[in-house]
Amino acid sequence: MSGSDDARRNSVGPVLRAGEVADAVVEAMQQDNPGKEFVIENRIAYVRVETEGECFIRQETLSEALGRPITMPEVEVNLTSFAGRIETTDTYMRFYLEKTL
Amino acid sequence: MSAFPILSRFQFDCHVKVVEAEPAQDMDALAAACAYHSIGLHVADQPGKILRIRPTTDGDDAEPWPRNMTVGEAGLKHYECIDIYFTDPGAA
Amino acid sequence: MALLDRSDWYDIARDTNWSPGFVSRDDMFPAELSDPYGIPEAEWETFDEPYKVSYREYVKVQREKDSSAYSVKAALSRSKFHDEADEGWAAVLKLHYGAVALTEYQASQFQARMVRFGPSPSMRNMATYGMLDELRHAQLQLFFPHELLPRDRQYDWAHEAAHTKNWAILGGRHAMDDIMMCRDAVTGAVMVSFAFETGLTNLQMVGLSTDAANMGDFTFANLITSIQSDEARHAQLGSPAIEIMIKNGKKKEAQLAVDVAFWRMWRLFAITVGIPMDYYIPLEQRHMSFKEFMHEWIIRQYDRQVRDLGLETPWYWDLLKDDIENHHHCQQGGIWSWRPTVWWNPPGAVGPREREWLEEKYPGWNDSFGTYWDVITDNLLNDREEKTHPECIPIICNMCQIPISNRPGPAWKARVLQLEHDGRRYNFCTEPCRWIFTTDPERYKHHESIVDRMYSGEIDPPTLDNVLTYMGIGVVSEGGRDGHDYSWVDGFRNQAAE
Ligand SMILES: [Fe+2]
Ligand SMILES: [Fe+2]
Ligand SMILES: [Zn+2]
Ligand SMILES: [Zn+2]
Repeated sequence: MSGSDDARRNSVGPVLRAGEVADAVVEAMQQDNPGKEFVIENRIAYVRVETEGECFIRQETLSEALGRPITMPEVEVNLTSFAGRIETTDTYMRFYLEKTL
Repeated sequence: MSAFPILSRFQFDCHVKVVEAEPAQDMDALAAACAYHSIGLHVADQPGKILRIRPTTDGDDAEPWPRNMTVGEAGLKHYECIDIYFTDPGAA
Repeated sequence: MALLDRSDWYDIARDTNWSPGFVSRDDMFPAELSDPYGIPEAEWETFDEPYKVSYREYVKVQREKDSSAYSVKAALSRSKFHDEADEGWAAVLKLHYGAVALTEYQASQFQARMVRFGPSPSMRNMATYGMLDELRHAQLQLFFPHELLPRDRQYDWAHEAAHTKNWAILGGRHAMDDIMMCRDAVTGAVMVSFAFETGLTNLQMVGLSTDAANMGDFTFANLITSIQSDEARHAQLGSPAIEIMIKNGKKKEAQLAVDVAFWRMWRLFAITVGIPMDYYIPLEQRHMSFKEFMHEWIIRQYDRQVRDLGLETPWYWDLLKDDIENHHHCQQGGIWSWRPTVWWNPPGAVGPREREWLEEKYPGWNDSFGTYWDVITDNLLNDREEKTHPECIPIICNMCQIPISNRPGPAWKARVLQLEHDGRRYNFCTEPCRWIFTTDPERYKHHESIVDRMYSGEIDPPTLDNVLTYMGIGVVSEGGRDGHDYSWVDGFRNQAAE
């Protein structure tokens, strides 16, 4: 247990209600964060998406993945929680940590 | 003075329980009163063993009170924490 | 029509601030309700919430959330789910609604305090949404159980629990009064928005959602994850408050607020989430152990946020890790043993297969907690049901108001930690609970636990029947019985027969 606590101590990313938005976020994040490895945990009611240090959800990519336009505030409907800290703008959400441990 | 609550920390039990003590009661009687609320409910009986009582301390190493000493003589007060524990009959 | 980007106008719309002309700023924002730390107004102007929303967006998004929650409920309300659901799941729902629904109104009042007394305009703005969020949470969680009322009076506790003196409610109220109702806006932002809402509310609202989906209760899964999406936003009021405090030399005070609030909430949430996850949810539907969940969400995720903000891991973290493998197992035993005192029907749920699972998830469970259930199982197998009902009461912690308990069996860890203050003897379950008392004895010293009330004349005479009535049992509804009518011992009966 403490091993995995430790190995993922710099993990950040959203926790989403399972559904089409969550699926689209997973797809969009992989496109928008090239070179990043994601851990995706499907927990039936929710999906945890995590990577090291920093990652983005971009509105344009997300709308494409979803097949319809979605605004960043609308992501909130499905954003149940997140690891790390958050920055929200009109065009992207950023999850990050200031310190690397 | 009439009955008052003491805190029974009974060996192997999960909860510390409130038991009413009487000043005139001796330690054997108090141990039996505490046992009534633990043995056979949350703690298995250990037939043949003798129950002793000592003050609860951090090191679990206080001397037990003499079995015939009364609650009043031992100076137990409201919410006093006591340990009730099993001993072998031959043990001091 | 071309709309401006939100970022072009957000600061102006948000920063409704002015210099008062008829009263002084100190009169308008008294320290004891606003900021007792004396941080300059200009510093509070730098407050920048990381999770931004405008009122227009808020209304649109909340409308969407609500219509989803209500439409899922409506679509499933004629299903036979509740007729067929395991009583263990009903116990989860009754406990959840009784403990949570009206607490949301307290949370709304707390947010309202930030709306009025928050020292920063952006804090007041964000808290306005938080205040509305919490109203939504209260009303959803009163409305949803209401339709279950005709089938089972115990669901009435969703509305009534907070109006009773049930021991579990005394615990919840003591903690919520402490961190939500009786704090200034800044300390509250640290205690509630940060320590409580970024950390522990996830346990209740996310942790139980997978179990709910596994049980087939999609209405509840949808409801609580929807609620938590509000929490994820308004919890972000906490981190800028902490950063401003640290920047202005108040790190010690911020740390104290975090450490006190987290421990208080932990003691409660271990009961409302830990017991459901590891006992009430039928074995086949369990998705993670409570311990695994705590490590993922708290030991890894929450603690990391604490440190990223520039605070330290709470001093009691090792005690917490131990408590994760201990506290809720003890309270499962206690709540089951004193089941007539609660408003749900707790299943014992420690048959042979469940015990195997517990031993796997919590190595050593059998040698410790197993000894406790061995005695109970033996009583049930040998027609001594009456011996499963204690005739005494456990001593209650003067901070968390929970029975003072610890690992049973050879480990024998149960121990009362005491403190004499102004001639009164106080009892505590753990070092952190005692420590919290010492940080502010004036705040805590007058409160009486349910046991204190039995000896102070408040419950007179202090008979078991009187205590039950005092706690609302037999008044709001009947108290609890074993949720499975002891069927979980059948496995041992079969083992014995073989
Ligand atoms: Fe809430
Ligand atoms: Fe909240
Ligand atoms: Zn406590
Ligand atoms: Zn305590």
